[in-house]
Amino acid sequence: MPRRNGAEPGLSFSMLSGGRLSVDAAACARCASKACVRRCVSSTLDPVLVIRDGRPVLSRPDGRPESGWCIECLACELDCRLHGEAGLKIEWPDDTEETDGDPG
Amino acid sequence: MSALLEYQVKQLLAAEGVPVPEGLMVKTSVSAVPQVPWARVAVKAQTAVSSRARKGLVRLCGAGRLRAAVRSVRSAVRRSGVDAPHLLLEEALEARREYYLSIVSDPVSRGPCLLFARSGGVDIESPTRRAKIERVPLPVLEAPSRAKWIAFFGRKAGLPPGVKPALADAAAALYRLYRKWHCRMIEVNPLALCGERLVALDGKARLDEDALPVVGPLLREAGLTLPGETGTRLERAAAKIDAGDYRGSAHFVENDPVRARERLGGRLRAFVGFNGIGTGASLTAMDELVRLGFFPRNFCDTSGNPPASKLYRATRIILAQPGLGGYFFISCVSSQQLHHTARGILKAFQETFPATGGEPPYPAVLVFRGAWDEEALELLREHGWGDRPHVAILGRETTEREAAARFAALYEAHHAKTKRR
Repeated sequence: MPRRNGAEPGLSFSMLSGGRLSVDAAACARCASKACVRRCVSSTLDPVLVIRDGRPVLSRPDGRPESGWCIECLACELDCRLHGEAGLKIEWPDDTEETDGDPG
Repeated sequence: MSALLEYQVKQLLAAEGVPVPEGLMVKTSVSAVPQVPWARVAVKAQTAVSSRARKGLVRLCGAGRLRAAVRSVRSAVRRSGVDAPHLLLEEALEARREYYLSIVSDPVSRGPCLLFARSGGVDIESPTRRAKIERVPLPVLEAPSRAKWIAFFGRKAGLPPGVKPALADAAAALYRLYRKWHCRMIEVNPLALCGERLVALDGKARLDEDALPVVGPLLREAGLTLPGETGTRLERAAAKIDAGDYRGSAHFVENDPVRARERLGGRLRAFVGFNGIGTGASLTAMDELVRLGFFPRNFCDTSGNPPASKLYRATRIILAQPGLGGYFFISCVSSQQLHHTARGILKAFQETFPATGGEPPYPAVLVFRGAWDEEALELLREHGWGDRPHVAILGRETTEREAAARFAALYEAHHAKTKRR
Protein backbone atom coordinates (compact mmCIF):
# COMPACT_ATOMS: atom_id res chain seq x y z
CA MET A 1 0.00 0.00 0.00
CA PRO A 2 1.61 3.29 -1.00
CA ARG A 3 2.14 5.76 1.80
CA ARG A 4 0.09 8.92 1.56
CA ASN A 5 1.21 12.28 2.77
CA GLY A 6 -0.57 15.65 2.98
CA ALA A 7 1.05 16.78 -0.28
CA GLU A 8 -0.91 14.29 -2.36
CA PRO A 9 -3.75 15.97 -4.14
CA GLY A 10 -7.24 14.99 -3.16
CA LEU A 11 -10.03 13.99 -5.48
CA SER A 12 -11.31 16.72 -7.76
CA PHE A 13 -13.87 16.68 -10.55
CA SER A 14 -16.28 18.89 -12.45
CA MET A 15 -20.03 18.53 -12.52
CA LEU A 16 -22.63 18.95 -15.21
CA SER A 17 -23.72 22.35 -13.84
CA GLY A 18 -20.17 23.69 -13.96
CA GLY A 19 -19.54 23.20 -10.25
CA ARG A 20 -16.35 21.61 -8.98
CA LEU A 21 -15.89 19.14 -6.14
CA SER A 22 -12.51 19.07 -4.48
CA VAL A 23 -11.16 17.18 -1.50
CA ASP A 24 -8.48 18.44 0.85
CA ALA A 25 -6.37 15.33 1.23
CA ALA A 26 -4.86 16.46 4.55
CA ALA A 27 -8.28 17.04 6.12
CA CYS A 28 -9.43 13.75 4.70
CA ALA A 29 -6.52 11.91 6.25
CA ARG A 30 -7.56 13.21 9.69
CA CYS A 31 -11.19 12.26 9.24
CA ALA A 32 -12.48 9.31 11.25
CA SER A 33 -16.09 9.27 10.05
CA LYS A 34 -15.64 9.31 6.25
CA ALA A 35 -19.22 10.56 6.30
CA CYS A 36 -18.93 11.93 2.76
CA VAL A 37 -19.72 8.60 1.14
CA ARG A 38 -22.55 7.41 3.38
CA ARG A 39 -25.37 8.93 1.41
CA CYS A 40 -23.82 9.13 -2.02
CA VAL A 41 -26.04 7.95 -4.83
CA SER A 42 -25.69 8.72 -8.49
CA SER A 43 -27.90 8.84 -11.55
CA THR A 44 -27.25 5.13 -11.96
CA LEU A 45 -27.87 4.42 -8.25
CA ASP A 46 -24.33 3.22 -7.63
CA PRO A 47 -22.40 5.71 -5.55
CA VAL A 48 -20.07 8.17 -7.21
CA LEU A 49 -17.79 8.23 -4.17
CA VAL A 50 -16.40 5.29 -2.24
CA ILE A 51 -13.62 5.10 0.33
CA ARG A 52 -10.47 3.36 -0.80
CA ASP A 53 -7.23 3.55 1.12
CA GLY A 54 -8.95 5.82 3.60
CA ARG A 55 -10.00 8.52 1.17
CA PRO A 56 -12.90 9.22 -1.18
CA VAL A 57 -12.34 8.22 -4.80
CA LEU A 58 -14.60 7.65 -7.78
CA SER A 59 -16.27 4.25 -7.55
CA ARG A 60 -15.55 3.81 -11.25
CA PRO A 61 -12.18 5.27 -12.31
CA ASP A 62 -13.57 5.78 -15.81
CA GLY A 63 -16.80 7.27 -14.51
CA ARG A 64 -17.72 10.75 -15.75
CA PRO A 65 -19.30 12.83 -12.98
CA GLU A 66 -19.59 15.78 -15.34
CA SER A 67 -22.03 13.87 -17.52
CA GLY A 68 -24.66 13.90 -14.78
CA TRP A 69 -23.47 10.72 -13.10
CA CYS A 70 -23.01 12.88 -10.03
CA ILE A 71 -26.51 14.18 -9.31
CA GLU A 72 -25.18 17.14 -7.29
CA CYS A 73 -27.26 16.32 -4.22
CA LEU A 74 -24.59 17.95 -1.98
CA ALA A 75 -24.92 15.15 0.58
CA CYS A 76 -21.16 14.53 0.57
CA GLU A 77 -20.26 18.15 1.33
CA LEU A 78 -22.92 18.69 3.97
CA ASP A 79 -22.14 15.41 5.75
CA CYS A 80 -18.41 16.16 5.62
CA ARG A 81 -19.09 19.55 7.18
CA LEU A 82 -21.35 18.14 9.89
CA HIS A 83 -19.66 14.85 10.71
CA GLY A 84 -16.19 15.09 9.19
CA GLU A 85 -13.35 17.53 8.81
CA ALA A 86 -14.98 19.90 6.25
CA GLY A 87 -12.37 18.85 3.73
CA LEU A 88 -14.77 18.30 0.83
CA LYS A 89 -15.99 21.40 -0.95
CA ILE A 90 -18.25 22.00 -3.91
CA GLU A 91 -18.03 25.41 -5.53
CA TRP A 92 -19.35 27.35 -8.50
CA PRO A 93 -18.15 30.57 -10.07
CA ASP A 94 -20.02 33.54 -8.56
CA ASP A 95 -23.21 33.80 -10.63
CA THR A 96 -23.51 37.51 -9.81
CA GLU A 97 -20.16 38.38 -11.37
CA GLU A 98 -20.43 39.95 -14.79
CA THR A 99 -18.40 42.22 -17.02
CA ASP A 100 -19.44 45.82 -16.70
CA GLY A 101 -20.63 46.20 -20.27
CA ASP A 102 -21.06 49.73 -21.54
CA PRO A 103 -24.02 49.83 -23.90
CA GLY A 104 -22.60 52.95 -25.56
CA MET B 1 -35.63 38.65 -17.08
CA SER B 2 -37.12 39.38 -20.52
CA ALA B 3 -37.73 43.12 -20.18
CA LEU B 4 -35.89 45.42 -22.57
CA LEU B 5 -34.95 48.79 -21.16
CA GLU B 6 -35.84 52.14 -22.66
CA TYR B 7 -32.52 52.72 -24.40
CA GLN B 8 -32.62 49.23 -25.93
CA VAL B 9 -36.15 49.72 -27.27
CA LYS B 10 -35.12 53.10 -28.69
CA GLN B 11 -32.23 51.48 -30.52
CA LEU B 12 -34.63 48.97 -32.05
CA LEU B 13 -37.14 51.69 -32.96
CA ALA B 14 -34.44 53.86 -34.55
CA ALA B 15 -33.30 50.91 -36.62
CA GLU B 16 -36.87 50.67 -37.94
CA GLY B 17 -37.01 54.36 -38.83
CA VAL B 18 -38.97 55.64 -35.80
CA PRO B 19 -37.49 58.97 -34.63
CA VAL B 20 -36.07 58.96 -31.09
CA PRO B 21 -34.39 61.81 -29.16
CA GLU B 22 -30.63 62.17 -29.40
CA GLY B 23 -29.03 60.70 -26.33
CA LEU B 24 -26.04 59.10 -24.68
CA MET B 25 -25.52 56.65 -21.87
CA VAL B 26 -23.49 57.10 -18.71
CA LYS B 27 -22.74 54.71 -15.89
CA THR B 28 -24.68 55.36 -12.72
CA SER B 29 -21.60 54.61 -10.63
CA VAL B 30 -19.31 57.17 -12.31
CA SER B 31 -19.44 60.71 -10.94
CA ALA B 32 -18.30 62.56 -14.09
CA VAL B 33 -21.05 64.20 -16.13
CA PRO B 34 -20.38 64.72 -19.85
CA GLN B 35 -21.03 67.91 -21.78
CA VAL B 36 -24.21 67.69 -23.81
CA PRO B 37 -25.27 69.81 -26.82
CA TRP B 38 -28.92 70.25 -25.84
CA ALA B 39 -30.65 73.16 -24.10
CA ARG B 40 -32.91 70.88 -22.09
CA VAL B 41 -31.99 67.42 -20.95
CA ALA B 42 -33.86 64.39 -19.66
CA VAL B 43 -31.91 62.25 -17.20
CA LYS B 44 -33.42 58.78 -16.99
CA ALA B 45 -32.37 55.80 -14.89
CA GLN B 46 -32.45 52.76 -17.12
CA THR B 47 -34.45 50.27 -15.13
CA ALA B 48 -37.49 48.11 -15.76
CA VAL B 49 -39.48 49.53 -12.82
CA SER B 50 -42.57 51.52 -13.72
CA SER B 51 -43.48 55.11 -12.82
CA ARG B 52 -39.85 56.21 -12.83
CA ALA B 53 -40.60 59.95 -12.70
CA ARG B 54 -42.68 59.56 -9.56
CA LYS B 55 -39.78 57.74 -7.91
CA GLY B 56 -37.25 60.42 -8.80
CA LEU B 57 -35.62 58.16 -11.39
CA VAL B 58 -36.29 60.66 -14.20
CA ARG B 59 -35.45 64.38 -14.08
CA LEU B 60 -35.82 67.13 -16.67
CA CYS B 61 -33.46 70.08 -16.47
CA GLY B 62 -31.78 72.89 -18.34
CA ALA B 63 -28.26 72.11 -19.51
CA GLY B 64 -26.84 74.30 -16.72
CA ARG B 65 -28.47 72.12 -14.06
CA LEU B 66 -27.44 68.79 -15.55
CA ARG B 67 -24.92 67.90 -12.86
CA ALA B 68 -27.50 68.41 -10.09
CA ALA B 69 -30.11 66.42 -11.99
CA VAL B 70 -27.73 63.51 -12.54
CA ARG B 71 -26.79 63.57 -8.85
CA SER B 72 -30.46 63.55 -7.92
CA VAL B 73 -31.28 60.55 -10.11
CA ARG B 74 -28.23 58.67 -8.83
CA SER B 75 -29.41 59.25 -5.25
CA ALA B 76 -32.88 58.04 -6.16
CA VAL B 77 -31.39 54.85 -7.62
CA ARG B 78 -29.42 54.22 -4.43
CA ARG B 79 -32.36 55.00 -2.14
CA SER B 80 -34.84 52.88 -3.98
CA GLY B 81 -32.57 49.86 -4.37
CA VAL B 82 -33.55 49.39 -8.03
CA ASP B 83 -31.10 47.85 -10.42
CA ALA B 84 -30.05 50.68 -12.78
CA PRO B 85 -26.39 50.53 -13.76
CA HIS B 86 -26.85 53.16 -16.50
CA LEU B 87 -28.48 56.53 -17.00
CA LEU B 88 -29.76 57.80 -20.34
CA LEU B 89 -29.12 61.49 -20.97
CA GLU B 90 -31.15 62.71 -23.91
CA GLU B 91 -32.50 65.86 -25.45
CA ALA B 92 -35.76 66.80 -23.70
CA LEU B 93 -38.13 67.68 -26.53
CA GLU B 94 -41.23 69.83 -26.25
CA ALA B 95 -44.31 67.71 -26.99
CA ARG B 96 -47.39 69.32 -28.56
CA ARG B 97 -49.42 66.15 -28.31
CA GLU B 98 -48.78 62.69 -26.88
CA TYR B 99 -50.15 59.39 -28.09
CA TYR B 100 -49.98 55.86 -26.76
CA LEU B 101 -49.14 52.96 -29.07
CA SER B 102 -48.33 49.36 -28.30
CA ILE B 103 -48.67 45.84 -29.59
CA VAL B 104 -49.34 43.11 -27.07
CA SER B 105 -50.01 39.40 -27.12
CA ASP B 106 -53.68 39.31 -26.24
CA PRO B 107 -54.82 36.19 -24.34
CA VAL B 108 -58.44 36.84 -25.35
CA SER B 109 -57.93 37.03 -29.11
CA ARG B 110 -54.90 34.72 -28.81
CA GLY B 111 -52.90 36.90 -31.10
CA PRO B 112 -51.26 40.28 -31.45
CA CYS B 113 -53.38 43.28 -30.61
CA LEU B 114 -52.76 46.95 -31.34
CA LEU B 115 -53.46 49.34 -28.49
CA PHE B 116 -53.85 53.00 -29.37
CA ALA B 117 -54.87 56.02 -27.31
CA ARG B 118 -55.06 59.64 -28.35
CA SER B 119 -53.56 60.67 -25.04
CA GLY B 120 -50.36 59.06 -23.85
CA GLY B 121 -48.02 59.67 -20.94
CA VAL B 122 -48.13 58.70 -17.28
CA ASP B 123 -50.97 56.83 -15.60
CA ILE B 124 -52.08 55.27 -18.89
CA GLU B 125 -52.99 52.19 -16.86
CA SER B 126 -55.41 54.02 -14.56
CA PRO B 127 -58.99 52.71 -14.95
CA THR B 128 -60.32 55.93 -16.53
CA ARG B 129 -57.54 56.19 -19.04
CA ARG B 130 -57.47 52.48 -19.78
CA ALA B 131 -61.10 52.71 -20.90
CA LYS B 132 -60.05 55.09 -23.68
CA ILE B 133 -57.50 52.72 -25.17
CA GLU B 134 -58.66 51.22 -28.47
CA ARG B 135 -57.87 47.55 -28.95
CA VAL B 136 -57.60 46.15 -32.45
CA PRO B 137 -56.73 42.48 -33.08
CA LEU B 138 -54.02 42.09 -35.69
CA PRO B 139 -53.23 39.20 -38.04
CA VAL B 140 -50.21 37.17 -37.04
CA LEU B 141 -49.40 35.36 -40.28
CA GLU B 142 -49.23 38.38 -42.55
CA ALA B 143 -48.19 41.90 -41.66
CA PRO B 144 -50.81 44.56 -42.45
CA SER B 145 -49.76 46.61 -45.48
CA ARG B 146 -48.84 50.27 -45.13
CA ALA B 147 -52.06 51.10 -46.93
CA LYS B 148 -54.05 49.29 -44.28
CA TRP B 149 -52.26 51.07 -41.46
CA ILE B 150 -52.88 54.43 -43.13
CA ALA B 151 -56.53 53.56 -43.73
CA PHE B 152 -56.89 52.60 -40.04
CA PHE B 153 -55.51 55.87 -38.69
CA GLY B 154 -57.07 57.80 -41.55
CA ARG B 155 -60.52 56.86 -40.29
CA LYS B 156 -59.90 58.41 -36.93
CA ALA B 157 -61.49 61.77 -36.45
CA GLY B 158 -59.67 64.43 -34.54
CA LEU B 159 -56.14 63.39 -35.42
CA PRO B 160 -54.12 66.09 -37.22
CA PRO B 161 -53.88 65.00 -40.86
CA GLY B 162 -50.10 65.23 -40.88
CA VAL B 163 -49.84 62.86 -37.94
CA LYS B 164 -51.78 59.98 -39.44
CA PRO B 165 -49.11 58.68 -41.83
CA ALA B 166 -46.49 58.96 -39.07
CA LEU B 167 -48.73 56.98 -36.69
CA ALA B 168 -49.21 54.38 -39.41
CA ASP B 169 -45.45 54.09 -39.92
CA ALA B 170 -44.84 53.84 -36.16
CA ALA B 171 -47.48 51.12 -35.81
CA ALA B 172 -45.99 49.21 -38.74
CA ALA B 173 -42.54 49.47 -37.13
CA LEU B 174 -43.86 48.19 -33.82
CA TYR B 175 -45.50 45.27 -35.59
CA ARG B 176 -42.22 44.38 -37.32
CA LEU B 177 -40.37 44.54 -34.01
CA TYR B 178 -43.08 42.55 -32.24
CA ARG B 179 -42.70 39.74 -34.77
CA LYS B 180 -38.95 39.91 -35.26
CA TRP B 181 -37.93 39.93 -31.59
CA HIS B 182 -40.66 37.64 -30.27
CA CYS B 183 -42.18 40.30 -28.08
CA ARG B 184 -45.00 39.69 -25.67
CA MET B 185 -45.40 43.44 -25.54
CA ILE B 186 -43.77 46.43 -27.18
CA GLU B 187 -44.90 49.90 -26.26
CA VAL B 188 -44.15 53.52 -27.07
CA ASN B 189 -45.54 55.90 -24.48
CA PRO B 190 -45.58 58.68 -25.26
CA LEU B 191 -45.28 58.83 -29.00
CA ALA B 192 -45.10 62.59 -29.08
CA LEU B 193 -45.63 65.25 -31.71
CA CYS B 194 -42.47 67.35 -31.33
CA GLY B 195 -42.42 70.08 -33.92
CA GLU B 196 -43.56 68.28 -37.05
CA ARG B 197 -42.19 64.86 -36.14
CA LEU B 198 -43.66 61.99 -34.15
CA VAL B 199 -40.91 60.98 -31.74
CA ALA B 200 -40.77 57.99 -29.40
CA LEU B 201 -40.01 59.66 -26.07
CA ASP B 202 -40.15 56.42 -24.07
CA GLY B 203 -40.50 52.75 -24.83
CA LYS B 204 -40.47 49.36 -23.31
CA ALA B 205 -40.75 45.78 -24.39
CA ARG B 206 -41.05 42.32 -22.94
CA LEU B 207 -39.70 39.42 -24.93
CA ASP B 208 -41.02 35.89 -24.92
CA GLU B 209 -38.64 34.21 -22.49
CA ASP B 210 -38.82 30.90 -24.28
CA ALA B 211 -37.51 32.59 -27.42
CA LEU B 212 -34.46 34.17 -25.76
CA PRO B 213 -31.99 31.50 -26.92
CA VAL B 214 -32.94 32.47 -30.49
CA VAL B 215 -33.36 36.21 -29.98
CA GLY B 216 -30.08 36.82 -28.16
CA PRO B 217 -27.80 35.71 -31.01
CA LEU B 218 -30.04 37.47 -33.57
CA LEU B 219 -29.65 40.75 -31.72
CA ARG B 220 -25.87 40.40 -31.72
CA GLU B 221 -25.83 39.34 -35.34
CA ALA B 222 -27.80 42.46 -36.26
CA GLY B 223 -24.95 44.50 -34.77
CA LEU B 224 -27.22 46.25 -32.34
CA THR B 225 -25.44 47.53 -29.25
CA LEU B 226 -27.69 45.64 -26.96
CA PRO B 227 -26.28 43.63 -24.12
CA GLY B 228 -26.99 39.93 -24.40
CA GLU B 229 -28.77 40.07 -21.08
CA THR B 230 -31.84 41.82 -19.79
CA GLY B 231 -33.32 42.08 -16.37
CA THR B 232 -31.67 42.98 -13.11
CA ARG B 233 -28.20 41.88 -12.06
CA LEU B 234 -29.60 39.13 -9.84
CA GLU B 235 -32.02 37.99 -12.56
CA ARG B 236 -29.10 37.72 -14.97
CA ALA B 237 -27.23 35.73 -12.34
CA ALA B 238 -30.21 33.44 -11.85
CA ALA B 239 -30.48 32.83 -15.59
CA LYS B 240 -27.08 31.18 -15.50
CA ILE B 241 -28.41 28.45 -13.22
CA ASP B 242 -30.57 26.84 -15.90
CA ALA B 243 -28.20 27.60 -18.78
CA GLY B 244 -26.79 24.32 -20.03
CA ASP B 245 -28.45 22.31 -17.24
CA TYR B 246 -31.74 20.72 -18.16
CA ARG B 247 -32.45 19.26 -14.73
CA GLY B 248 -35.43 21.02 -13.17
CA SER B 249 -35.67 24.78 -13.15
CA ALA B 250 -34.81 27.86 -11.14
CA HIS B 251 -36.93 30.80 -12.28
CA PHE B 252 -36.22 34.02 -10.41
CA VAL B 253 -37.53 37.55 -10.87
CA GLU B 254 -37.22 40.50 -8.59
CA ASN B 255 -40.28 42.42 -7.53
CA ASP B 256 -40.32 46.20 -7.47
CA PRO B 257 -39.60 47.35 -3.90
CA VAL B 258 -40.58 50.93 -4.66
CA ARG B 259 -43.97 49.94 -5.98
CA ALA B 260 -44.43 47.59 -3.04
CA ARG B 261 -43.87 50.47 -0.62
CA GLU B 262 -46.38 52.58 -2.57
CA ARG B 263 -48.95 49.81 -2.61
CA LEU B 264 -48.73 48.73 0.98
CA GLY B 265 -47.77 52.06 2.53
CA GLY B 266 -47.79 51.79 6.31
CA ARG B 267 -48.94 48.17 6.13
CA LEU B 268 -45.56 47.02 4.84
CA ARG B 269 -43.72 45.28 7.66
CA ALA B 270 -40.85 43.62 5.81
CA PHE B 271 -39.60 42.30 2.52
CA VAL B 272 -39.26 38.53 2.41
CA GLY B 273 -36.94 36.43 0.29
CA PHE B 274 -39.22 33.90 -1.34
CA ASN B 275 -38.87 30.50 -2.95
CA GLY B 276 -41.61 28.09 -3.94
CA ILE B 277 -42.14 24.81 -5.68
CA GLY B 278 -45.22 25.09 -7.83
CA THR B 279 -46.60 28.41 -8.98
CA GLY B 280 -50.06 27.81 -7.55
CA ALA B 281 -48.79 27.21 -4.04
CA SER B 282 -46.33 30.06 -4.44
CA LEU B 283 -48.94 32.61 -5.51
CA THR B 284 -51.29 31.48 -2.75
CA ALA B 285 -48.56 31.79 -0.16
CA MET B 286 -47.47 35.16 -1.51
CA ASP B 287 -51.05 36.44 -1.25
CA GLU B 288 -51.19 35.28 2.35
CA LEU B 289 -47.91 36.98 3.17
CA VAL B 290 -48.96 40.26 1.54
CA ARG B 291 -52.24 40.16 3.46
CA LEU B 292 -50.17 40.20 6.65
CA GLY B 293 -47.88 43.01 5.45
CA PHE B 294 -44.93 40.93 4.23
CA PHE B 295 -44.04 41.58 0.63
CA PRO B 296 -42.13 38.97 -1.37
CA ARG B 297 -38.98 40.74 -2.55
CA ASN B 298 -38.86 38.26 -5.44
CA PHE B 299 -40.66 35.41 -7.09
CA CYS B 300 -38.73 32.18 -7.44
CA ASP B 301 -39.86 28.75 -8.56
CA THR B 302 -37.48 25.81 -8.24
CA SER B 303 -39.51 22.89 -9.50
CA GLY B 304 -39.21 20.02 -11.92
CA ASN B 305 -36.92 18.19 -9.48
CA PRO B 306 -33.82 20.32 -9.84
CA PRO B 307 -30.61 19.07 -8.23
CA ALA B 308 -29.63 20.46 -4.84
CA SER B 309 -26.99 22.51 -6.61
CA LYS B 310 -29.67 24.59 -8.34
CA LEU B 311 -31.43 25.19 -5.05
CA TYR B 312 -28.13 26.29 -3.56
CA ARG B 313 -27.41 28.78 -6.31
CA ALA B 314 -30.97 30.11 -6.42
CA THR B 315 -31.11 30.52 -2.65
CA ARG B 316 -27.79 32.38 -2.62
CA ILE B 317 -29.31 34.83 -5.11
CA ILE B 318 -32.50 35.21 -3.08
CA LEU B 319 -30.48 35.91 0.07
CA ALA B 320 -28.32 38.45 -1.80
CA GLN B 321 -31.24 40.85 -2.19
CA PRO B 322 -30.82 43.94 -0.05
CA GLY B 323 -33.20 44.82 2.76
CA LEU B 324 -34.63 41.38 3.53
CA GLY B 325 -36.53 40.99 6.78
CA GLY B 326 -37.31 37.29 6.39
CA TYR B 327 -37.18 34.17 4.27
CA PHE B 328 -40.04 31.94 3.18
CA PHE B 329 -39.94 28.61 1.36
CA ILE B 330 -42.95 26.48 0.48
CA SER B 331 -43.56 23.49 -1.74
CA CYS B 332 -46.80 22.37 -3.22
CA VAL B 333 -47.46 18.71 -2.48
CA SER B 334 -44.79 17.95 -5.01
CA SER B 335 -43.19 14.89 -6.46
CA GLN B 336 -39.66 16.25 -6.43
CA GLN B 337 -36.98 14.96 -4.11
CA LEU B 338 -37.43 17.43 -1.32
CA HIS B 339 -34.43 16.18 0.67
CA HIS B 340 -32.22 17.35 -2.18
CA THR B 341 -34.10 20.66 -2.15
CA ALA B 342 -33.42 20.95 1.57
CA ARG B 343 -29.69 20.32 1.10
CA GLY B 344 -29.40 23.08 -1.46
CA ILE B 345 -31.14 25.56 0.83
CA LEU B 346 -29.01 24.45 3.80
CA LYS B 347 -25.73 24.95 1.97
CA ALA B 348 -26.82 28.41 0.83
CA PHE B 349 -27.68 29.51 4.35
CA GLN B 350 -24.46 28.06 5.79
CA GLU B 351 -22.38 29.99 3.30
CA THR B 352 -24.39 33.22 3.42
CA PHE B 353 -24.34 33.34 7.22
CA PRO B 354 -21.10 31.52 8.12
CA ALA B 355 -20.65 33.23 11.48
CA THR B 356 -23.85 31.71 12.82
CA GLY B 357 -23.53 28.32 11.14
CA GLY B 358 -26.28 29.20 8.71
CA GLU B 359 -28.77 30.76 11.08
CA PRO B 360 -30.28 33.82 9.38
CA PRO B 361 -30.58 37.15 11.20
CA TYR B 362 -34.30 37.22 10.48
CA PRO B 363 -37.28 34.87 10.71
CA ALA B 364 -37.50 31.97 8.30
CA VAL B 365 -40.29 29.53 7.52
CA LEU B 366 -39.73 26.45 5.40
CA VAL B 367 -42.61 24.19 4.42
CA PHE B 368 -41.87 20.82 2.86
CA ARG B 369 -44.83 18.92 1.46
CA GLY B 370 -44.61 15.91 -0.83
CA ALA B 371 -42.08 13.30 -1.81
CA TRP B 372 -39.25 12.86 0.70
CA ASP B 373 -40.69 15.66 2.84
CA GLU B 374 -40.01 13.85 6.08
CA GLU B 375 -36.43 13.22 4.98
CA ALA B 376 -36.09 16.93 4.26
CA LEU B 377 -37.36 17.90 7.70
CA GLU B 378 -35.12 15.32 9.35
CA LEU B 379 -32.14 16.68 7.45
CA LEU B 380 -32.84 20.19 8.65
CA ARG B 381 -33.21 18.98 12.23
CA GLU B 382 -29.92 17.11 11.89
CA HIS B 383 -28.32 20.45 11.04
CA GLY B 384 -29.89 22.14 14.03
CA TRP B 385 -32.75 23.94 12.34
CA GLY B 386 -35.37 22.42 14.61
CA ASP B 387 -34.05 24.33 17.61
CA ARG B 388 -33.84 27.85 16.35
CA PRO B 389 -36.30 30.28 17.94
CA HIS B 390 -37.03 32.34 14.83
CA VAL B 391 -37.02 29.48 12.33
CA ALA B 392 -39.95 27.14 11.67
CA ILE B 393 -39.70 23.97 9.59
CA LEU B 394 -43.14 22.67 8.74
CA GLY B 395 -44.53 19.60 7.03
CA ARG B 396 -47.25 18.46 4.71
CA GLU B 397 -50.22 19.25 6.94
CA THR B 398 -49.45 22.97 6.79
CA THR B 399 -51.57 25.22 4.62
CA GLU B 400 -50.27 28.35 2.95
CA ARG B 401 -52.34 30.47 5.33
CA GLU B 402 -50.95 28.69 8.37
CA ALA B 403 -47.41 29.04 7.10
CA ALA B 404 -47.83 32.78 6.55
CA ALA B 405 -49.39 33.17 9.99
CA ARG B 406 -46.47 31.29 11.49
CA PHE B 407 -44.07 33.63 9.73
CA ALA B 408 -45.95 36.65 11.12
CA ALA B 409 -45.77 35.21 14.64
CA LEU B 410 -42.04 34.55 14.31
CA TYR B 411 -41.51 38.06 12.97
CA GLU B 412 -43.35 39.65 15.88
CA ALA B 413 -41.48 37.56 18.44
CA HIS B 414 -38.13 38.20 16.77
CA HIS B 415 -38.70 41.92 16.66
CA ALA B 416 -39.92 42.09 20.22
CA LYS B 417 -36.73 40.32 21.26
CA THR B 418 -34.57 42.57 19.10
CA LYS B 419 -36.15 45.68 20.62
CA ARG B 420 -35.54 44.47 24.17
CA ARG B 421 -31.77 44.17 23.52
